[in-house]
Amino acid sequence: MYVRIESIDFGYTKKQTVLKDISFSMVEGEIVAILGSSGSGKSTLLRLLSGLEIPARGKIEINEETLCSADTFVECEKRHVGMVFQDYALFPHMDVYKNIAFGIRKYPKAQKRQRVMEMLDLINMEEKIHAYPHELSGGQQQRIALARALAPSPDILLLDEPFSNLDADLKMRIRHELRTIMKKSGMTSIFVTHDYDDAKDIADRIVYLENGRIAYEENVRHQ
Amino acid sequence: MNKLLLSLSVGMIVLMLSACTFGVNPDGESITVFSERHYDTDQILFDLFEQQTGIRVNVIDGGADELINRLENESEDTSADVLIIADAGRLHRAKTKDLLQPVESDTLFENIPSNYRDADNYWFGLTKRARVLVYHPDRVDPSELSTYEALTEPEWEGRVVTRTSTNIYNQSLMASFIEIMGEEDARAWAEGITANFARTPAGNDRDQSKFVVEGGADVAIMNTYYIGRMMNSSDPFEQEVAETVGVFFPNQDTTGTHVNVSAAGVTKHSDNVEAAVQFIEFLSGEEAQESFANANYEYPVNENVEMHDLLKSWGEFKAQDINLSVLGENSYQATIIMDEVGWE
Amino acid sequence: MLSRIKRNINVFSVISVIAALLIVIPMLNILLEVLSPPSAAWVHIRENLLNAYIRNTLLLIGFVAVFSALLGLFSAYVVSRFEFRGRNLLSWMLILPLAMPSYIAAYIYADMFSYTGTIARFMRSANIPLRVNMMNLSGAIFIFTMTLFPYVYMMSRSALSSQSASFSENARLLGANRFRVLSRVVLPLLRPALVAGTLLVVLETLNDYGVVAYYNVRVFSFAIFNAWFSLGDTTAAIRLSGVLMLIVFAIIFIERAIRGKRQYSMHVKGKPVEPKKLRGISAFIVPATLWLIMALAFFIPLAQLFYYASLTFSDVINANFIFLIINSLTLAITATAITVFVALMLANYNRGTKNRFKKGLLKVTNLGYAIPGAVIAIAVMLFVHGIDRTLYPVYRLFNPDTGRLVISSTLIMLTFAFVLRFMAIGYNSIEASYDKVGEKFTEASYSLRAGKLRTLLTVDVPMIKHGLISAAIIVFIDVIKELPLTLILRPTNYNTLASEVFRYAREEMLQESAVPALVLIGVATFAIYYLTHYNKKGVAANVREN
Ligand SMILES: Nc1ncnc2c1ncn2[C@@H]1O[C@H](COP(=O)(O)OP(=O)(O)O)[C@@H](O)[C@H]1O
Ligand SMILES: [Fe+2]
Ligand SMILES: [Mg+2]
Repeated sequence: MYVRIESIDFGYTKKQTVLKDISFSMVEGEIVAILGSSGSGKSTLLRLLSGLEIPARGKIEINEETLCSADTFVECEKRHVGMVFQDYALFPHMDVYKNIAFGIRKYPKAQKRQRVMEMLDLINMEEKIHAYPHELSGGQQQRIALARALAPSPDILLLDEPFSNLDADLKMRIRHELRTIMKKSGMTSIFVTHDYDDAKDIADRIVYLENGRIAYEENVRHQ
Repeated sequence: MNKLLLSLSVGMIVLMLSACTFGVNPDGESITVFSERHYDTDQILFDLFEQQTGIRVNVIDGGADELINRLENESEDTSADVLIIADAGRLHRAKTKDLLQPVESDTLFENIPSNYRDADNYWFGLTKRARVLVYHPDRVDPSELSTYEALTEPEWEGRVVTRTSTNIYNQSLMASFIEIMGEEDARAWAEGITANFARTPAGNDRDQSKFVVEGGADVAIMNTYYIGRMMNSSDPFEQEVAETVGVFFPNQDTTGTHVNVSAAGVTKHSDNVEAAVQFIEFLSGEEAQESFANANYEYPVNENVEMHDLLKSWGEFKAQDINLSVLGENSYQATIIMDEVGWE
Repeated sequence: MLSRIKRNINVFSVISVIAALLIVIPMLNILLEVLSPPSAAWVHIRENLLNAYIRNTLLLIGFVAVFSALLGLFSAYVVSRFEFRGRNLLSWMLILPLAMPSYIAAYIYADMFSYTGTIARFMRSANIPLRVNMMNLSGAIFIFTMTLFPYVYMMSRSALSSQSASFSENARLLGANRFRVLSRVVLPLLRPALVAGTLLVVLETLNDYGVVAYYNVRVFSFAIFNAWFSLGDTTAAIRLSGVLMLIVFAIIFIERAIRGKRQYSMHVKGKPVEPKKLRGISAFIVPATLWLIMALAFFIPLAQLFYYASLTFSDVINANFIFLIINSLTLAITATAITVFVALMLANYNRGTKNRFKKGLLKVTNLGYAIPGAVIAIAVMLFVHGIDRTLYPVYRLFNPDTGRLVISSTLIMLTFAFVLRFMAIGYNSIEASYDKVGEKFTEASYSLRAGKLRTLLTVDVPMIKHGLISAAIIVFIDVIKELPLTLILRPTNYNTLASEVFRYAREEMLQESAVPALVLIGVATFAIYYLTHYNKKGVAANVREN
């Protein structure tokens, strides 16, 4: 298994329980949707996977590396996890190029440029290379955020409600586009949503989250 | 980035320039003087001293309280050899805090009358000032004035001003009364004078004389040298005030006018006591006294030295006959009494 | 939220903890002193003076708080909600009174109304039988209000200009009239800014010594100096500052309690309120009021200073004068840089920890602002002397003839005291910026595998740049004006513009103090001009970020 999550418990404070006994696994290249109502703990689960929070109990393994267990914890910046935030969190003081290049600082210059161009090509936005985030529409911002997360070739891509800031019309179009981009890049991805249609259109499999527990899973497509 | 570099380099230049202000460390013998005084004419005297003795004088100036505090905190590590500050009360404070050391010097004993130096020789007065009555000649005839005590009479109600009880000059004045009249009468005086204040005390000595000229009060209790300084003020209107008012030396037929000093002492932890004593001796000598006193329109303590023309014009006067050490000894009690009678 | 990430020890936490401890230890010394048995002087103070001190202090800060809140709020509201001629100019000039140190304004106003003063002379020649005595409680209230209200102005102005129009519009849709909108929506939303600004004013007022000593207003800072110098009793002085700190805590606590759980700083995106054009008589009266405030708070005392400077500049300016400027600048720049740097470290650390003890420690580092300068001076002096005496054997290794007081005789001691004193200003300004920005960018940066240092330098710092710059400038202005610490802790013969102004004033040579005072005000004015203009986006954008 490419991703293995075992018996995760978590609460923001000692008394609180936000997630309880979460376990699931994924194969490489799979796209999983986490579906649940607001407050059910979806974002929290992504924060745990990315290393922004530490689980009270349980184990996380991605690509044969143990990121988190009783005796190990790999910090966020050391994990190969890409994340697209709910409101994208594009750095407002950097243009598109710098935003995308941010995570691949260590690449040699030419290679860095090439990688950014690849990403822009993937999302079809080459012409916006020197635009600043506030000069972009919501959909464009979302795609840049996606490109930024993909640029360092993470082991896994996490997307938190990627459509919440888009209007319905745009959403329809982008839904398919997103799946195409994700499949094209072959990226193992988890995305979070509260909309069944989103989940059904994009994911291979849907994990239902209710009150911090996994209620059941549903296969949408066969691998 | 450019801006950052620019600010950094400006910062560096400033730092380097200011580094130049330190570290001017001359060879040869030198003493360090903590001094409240800050007059250009003093430097000429110090240069003269260096010429005569080869001892350089480093002056560190600051407020008296600040300097005492600094001495106290630096204790045995201080660089100071001599402390020069105004008011016997403050020098006494330095003495009781164990910051000074006694000095046996025949020159000093000879140059300085015994009541203007510490009874145990911890400090030596260099210049004198009198705390006098300053009045408006249109509203007060000098014949109405007599003593500090008379100002507590009902006829002076609402006509007297002076500064606050937190001011050392008034604390020392009060301390001298405790010595001369005893605590009971001194308290009665403080009560009486407070009752006659034209306003809640505020401001400095110059402000008191301005208030008199303005018509807010008729008599101010203040130090003589401020009249001299106002006469030479850069502000023509201040000169006018100084010329308008009259100066009256009270208690001439009784206990004498209150006199205080600026004085010097050798610090307890001086590492060059000999030079420090030499320096104070020099300042008390005939050669230095005139310039030293005139710089601030004060009376020289050395009786062989002539006073400033302005002071001469006011004539000779009788001073309180007490050893000024008592000003310091009584100062705490004086402060407490003034607080208790409500002198603000 | 970043807490779990930063559980490992790193450079930042080390710097933060060391800095916090350095700041806290001297203050603890003071608190311990309060526990020592009461001295005779303390008994005297308690019996005869304490009530008056408390009464006067409460009166002073009460009135100053109310007046400066009104003045600051009024000017901020007018400038941000109305359009009129001179608005842009006023919008930054209203900060200028901060460049005028309270003690200078106090001396100048007392002088102008004294017999020889310009105003008194004018009134005499115009036969106006009005005599104004500045030197009392009302005078002090006037001086503090005029020189400190810009704190309220700055804070309210930035809150007002970032307040989205949607709140007001919503309220009006819900049927509220203009007055209700103002009193129920605009003002309550402004509250945190208003409180923060007023608190700064109150703390500055409590800290002043120059004004209250000259005007003989018996408040705590004055009492502390008196106990220390007139009664020669340090423990009584420290005890008094203990009482003062209690008053400050009470004020802060009451404010917190009233605020409770209500949130005032919801970040709602939306267009800001369009300023309305002033018409008719108010187009004249309203700006005139603002200019009048400016005149009283800044231009009139400034003019008087220029007049005195013209009388005395030839006596005062000599070769050493340039060093006064250099010394002041060096000191202010160094102290500001260190304060802002440490504040950044602390704020950054605070963001990353949930540990209550550590958060408490960080809060304590802000207390310096509430402790009178004189007391900080004692604390720092004792502390640094202690270090010097401990390190003496080490010094000897390098230079066998060295004196014991090595650090104490340098600028380090004074700079350290400034950092301690002004940490709150730097810290709060940075923390506010961090709050505004939120944590998502930092998290995004970590998720892109940027380390802590890189995240700080390339993401956090640029995002809170405005907050950093305004923190730096306010600290700079405060340092350059500062008196008690400078007087007590400066290295021997290290004179600054402020110490020179005070020296002349102490010697009752007000006219001579004008030149250094003007240079000081000039430097501070330049800093304010820079604060409000460094960004081409215009004044509003900058002030908003405070
Ligand atoms: N920083 C936090 N501190 C405390 N509780 C939080 C915090 N963030 C989220 N929660 C709580 O955790 C639960 C799950 O939140 P979240 O994962 O954001 O939900 P979702 O993304 O599914 O809407 C909610 O009940 C929320 O109140
Ligand atoms: Fe004097
Ligand atoms: Mg969520």
